[in-house]
Amino acid sequence: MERTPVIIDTDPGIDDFFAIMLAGSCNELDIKAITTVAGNQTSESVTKNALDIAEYFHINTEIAKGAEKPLNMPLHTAGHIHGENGLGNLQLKASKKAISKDYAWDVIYQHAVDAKGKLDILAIGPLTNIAIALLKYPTLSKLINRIVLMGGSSETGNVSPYAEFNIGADPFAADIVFKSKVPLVMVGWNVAMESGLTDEEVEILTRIETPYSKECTALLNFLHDVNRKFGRDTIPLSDALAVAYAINPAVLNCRDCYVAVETRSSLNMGRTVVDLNQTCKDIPTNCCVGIGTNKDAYFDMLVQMMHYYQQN
Amino acid sequence: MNRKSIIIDCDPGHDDAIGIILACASDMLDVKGITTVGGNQTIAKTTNNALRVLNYIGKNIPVAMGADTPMSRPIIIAPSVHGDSGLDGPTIPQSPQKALDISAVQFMAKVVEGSEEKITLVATGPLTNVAIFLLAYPHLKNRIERISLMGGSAIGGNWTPAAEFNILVDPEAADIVFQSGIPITMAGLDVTHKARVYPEDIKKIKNQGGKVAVLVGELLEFFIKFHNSLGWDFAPLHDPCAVAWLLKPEIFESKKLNVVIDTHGEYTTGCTVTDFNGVSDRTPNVDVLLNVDRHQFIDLIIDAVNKYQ
Repeated sequence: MERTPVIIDTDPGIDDFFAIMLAGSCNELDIKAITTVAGNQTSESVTKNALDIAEYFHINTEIAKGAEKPLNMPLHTAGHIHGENGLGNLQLKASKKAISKDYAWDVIYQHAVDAKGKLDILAIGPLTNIAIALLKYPTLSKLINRIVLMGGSSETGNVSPYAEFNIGADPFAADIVFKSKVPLVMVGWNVAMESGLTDEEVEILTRIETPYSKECTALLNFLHDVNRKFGRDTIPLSDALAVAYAINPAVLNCRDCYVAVETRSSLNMGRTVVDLNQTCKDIPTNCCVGIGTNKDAYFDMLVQMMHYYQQN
Repeated sequence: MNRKSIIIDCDPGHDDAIGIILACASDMLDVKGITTVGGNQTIAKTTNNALRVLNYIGKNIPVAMGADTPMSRPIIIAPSVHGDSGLDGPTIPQSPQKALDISAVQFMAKVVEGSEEKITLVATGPLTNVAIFLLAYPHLKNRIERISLMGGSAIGGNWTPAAEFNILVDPEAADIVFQSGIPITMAGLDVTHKARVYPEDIKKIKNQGGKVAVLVGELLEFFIKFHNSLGWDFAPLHDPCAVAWLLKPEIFESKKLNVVIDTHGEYTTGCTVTDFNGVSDRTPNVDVLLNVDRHQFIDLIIDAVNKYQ
């Protein structure tokens, strides 16, 4: 089977760690590059983390650094979720690999050209790099097969009543992406929450011995404690769910909707406004929106991932 | 039993009319008057409709005409849902009665000032009149027991992706009402889309016999047509929820949450921003209705039409 060429645009981030881990374990994706964007932590931290994570999982791919801050807003990182270093204060072995001499947006464009229309972008951080790429290269929108993004919500949010972190971090970039006409798949906070891992499921996953068990368990424990603080008894691995969808769309139930990003209202800033009730009949749909999860299929995929690393 | 004194501020409208019929049938409510507002149709039509409905059901209740346009925006009307008259479908004769000489807000003030007990406002149209009343009579605010309103939605809209019709028509008015500090019950789309009336329910209501049962049945037969055009096999009975909650709160599920109104969004103006997850540091100010026992709700309507026999 031909692997799908993908770029992972990411801000690791604990759930980004598991997203990259999942992508590295599957036969479906060919990771052409990992590009970094400031979000969960500063550009410096997330770029170091991307390098270290790739090396840790023996994923040999180009790593390129992108935007250090959102398009026109200050950066607000999520140290309270992901820890001071972005990885729950876990220290991976420091990679000595050099980052790409090119910016993230140039790397994205080059791979889009090389892939001849087949490139998928898995965007699991704020959409700053993608927006800059689309702005710098007006032809890019036609060269990308699709963007599978973790961000937004068709229901409630996690940084304001309706806004989710990645879109809330850079609403203007998201606005550009949602208006770009690139086919979009939105894996939002609504499905991320619905697919949260229970204690029993975490137990099943961590009982599968791999060379990575110690670190995975530490990260899951860290997330467990963070989520408890928010009153949640499950662990949403939001970014991993987006990668899971890219591997097998059966993990989500989706609906084509018109989605706009609110950028003018302080109360709804960064909300992905999803036209669930089809009130905008004259506006074409622009996004395939995840509205439900197939939890069993998703969890099976995580189990498969652990088995892969048990043997590799 | 002490009857609760209410004023119904509305823009009839099929579901408003059924709300009026439900309220006027109840021994628990004393309907002091009906005030009208532009919304589902223009103010002349909604006022005429209120008068016609009251005359048809034989209730001598004063009607006062209110605002013809929202506070600071042009009006939006909904002929696609309610027809040209605002109450298309059944034949309802003109009323010999006229609206009062005083305006809706003057009437509200008069009722509130003349009442020993606090007044509950039932608002099933845009909130223009209620907001003007609160602005113009600040000393009467503490004489309002509660505002039970149909409007808004915690998730999704029906006129834009994020906004429900009543709030969208006059978001600035809604903002004033929701910030007022008066206890609010919000019957938004979250609950009204669960207050479903199916064709078999309509048949059952009509079969109760009596002219009011026939009227309600015919109103619903027209009202369901618009919703059929959306691909729905039911009609959501929005406005009667705001009345039904006063009659039987136990058939509803609700949560006390913070709700603020978006008046600035490019895509989200008119959204009742409902903080489900407690991520804002704003204090809960609204009892948000989230679910209703549909069968008990229909039974309330059936009991109501039978009261007129």
